[in-house]
Amino acid sequence: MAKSIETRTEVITFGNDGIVRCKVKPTEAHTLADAEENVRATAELTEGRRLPLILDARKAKGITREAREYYTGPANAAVVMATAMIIDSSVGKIIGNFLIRVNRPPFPFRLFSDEDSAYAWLVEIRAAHADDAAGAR
Amino acid sequence: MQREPDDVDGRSGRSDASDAHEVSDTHLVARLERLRARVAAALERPTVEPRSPTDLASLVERLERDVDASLAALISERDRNRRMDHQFGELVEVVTALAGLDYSQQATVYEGQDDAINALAIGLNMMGEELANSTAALIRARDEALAANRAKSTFLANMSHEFRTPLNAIIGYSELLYDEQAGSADPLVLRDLGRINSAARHVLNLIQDTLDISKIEADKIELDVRPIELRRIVEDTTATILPTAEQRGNRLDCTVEIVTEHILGDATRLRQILLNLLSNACKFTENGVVALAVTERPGAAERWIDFAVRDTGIGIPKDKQQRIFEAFTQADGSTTRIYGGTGLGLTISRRLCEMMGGTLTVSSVVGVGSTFTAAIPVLPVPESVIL
Repeated sequence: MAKSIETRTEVITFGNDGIVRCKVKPTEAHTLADAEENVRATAELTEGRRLPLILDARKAKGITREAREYYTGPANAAVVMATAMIIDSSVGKIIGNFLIRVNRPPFPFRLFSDEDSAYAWLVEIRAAHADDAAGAR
Repeated sequence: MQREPDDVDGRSGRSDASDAHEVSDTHLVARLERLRARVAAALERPTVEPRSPTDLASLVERLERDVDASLAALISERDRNRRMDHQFGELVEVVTALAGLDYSQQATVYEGQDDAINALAIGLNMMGEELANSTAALIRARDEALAANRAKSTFLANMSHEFRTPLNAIIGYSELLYDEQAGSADPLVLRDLGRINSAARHVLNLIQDTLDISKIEADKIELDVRPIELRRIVEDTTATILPTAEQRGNRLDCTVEIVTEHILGDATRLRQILLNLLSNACKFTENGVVALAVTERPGAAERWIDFAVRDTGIGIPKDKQQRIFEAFTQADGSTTRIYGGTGLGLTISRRLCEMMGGTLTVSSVVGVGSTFTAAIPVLPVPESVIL
């Protein structure tokens, strides 16, 4: 059964398919405190495992520099295997490009315009990780 | 879609951004007046003839609703356009500030405003934050580098002092001992004393070179410009280098063809450049010729003296000819092992030439030899000063 946590800026759901879905609420820009709260909530739902994450940022209103750094820093990398960010606006495209090109997350990060493509990409990433883990054993 | 002035249908009347500037208060009032006129006309000659007071009331209510809806749409559009104008103004201000390297201004993101404009505002704000952060990081890095460089210069100055004091004692005492023992001691003792003296002088020169480059990098060297007699400096320098040239079996030639004998310049630094070039030439030439040619360029509006040091030594490969002017660099690593030196001489010489407003260049062919030319602009000493 899917578990869910709602924070000030996101609704975070962890389903049976092993993928975390973060839906950005149409609130104001994410601050560092929001980023910390969201990463903490994700870790709580996944019980500390590194899992693929769909970030639905279609309602995103902005993000502070500190929050961008936190989302692309070691704390988030500890709970996120890869992020597929869904966008459908110029705001989303700008935020996504900043995250990719300026903040450079240490995990795979890609922009999508729909959830199906995002999901398919994350499944591929997860399979590659599983292969790597099997090879390592 | 361009909207007609008398279009009162609120549903089809949504204006796009292109007609934003047409919707002014005056324009709205004019349109409202036209609406009123249409209402009045409709009441006088209704399209559907009211059959009863109830029909008439219904017609009036419908028209009133239409007018209210149209008016609300127009006012909303006017407000949106005003916000858009205001936001554009803000964006221009932020861009202007960014262009002036002021990253403190932030554009406002308005709820319900055009997505593209909000995207521009968010993008500009993020760029400003990143630029402010990067600039601050660069300034910190620069300040740290400057502080480290100052610390390095101080360290070098202190250390060179600490080294030079005992080295001068070694040089002085070895010369004293040599002189005292010159007539009576075992030749092997004299040879060893000579070696001690030579090694100590070598170390002293290395320290002096290191100190010089450190001062040059810190822009702490100033030229001591005084009237000098050029020919005497050249003669002194060649006399100093002659033993070194002969030790390597080289012939030392010197020609001076100048009109301006007395110039304003820094004798010590000029001598240092010539000694560096000549000792390099002697170092890399064996049983050959080292020649110094000093010439004044004829006919030039500005007086230039060229000091060309030519040798018949090992030469320098084309691809290494610029590298040799970089600090701590010789043509290749093996050069240092075979010929010694810090690789600072040419760097110092070039920088000194540049400080004098001149240049130091090289032309060379491997196996044939090299020519280093220090070209320096000079000012003649006024006649009254020479006398």
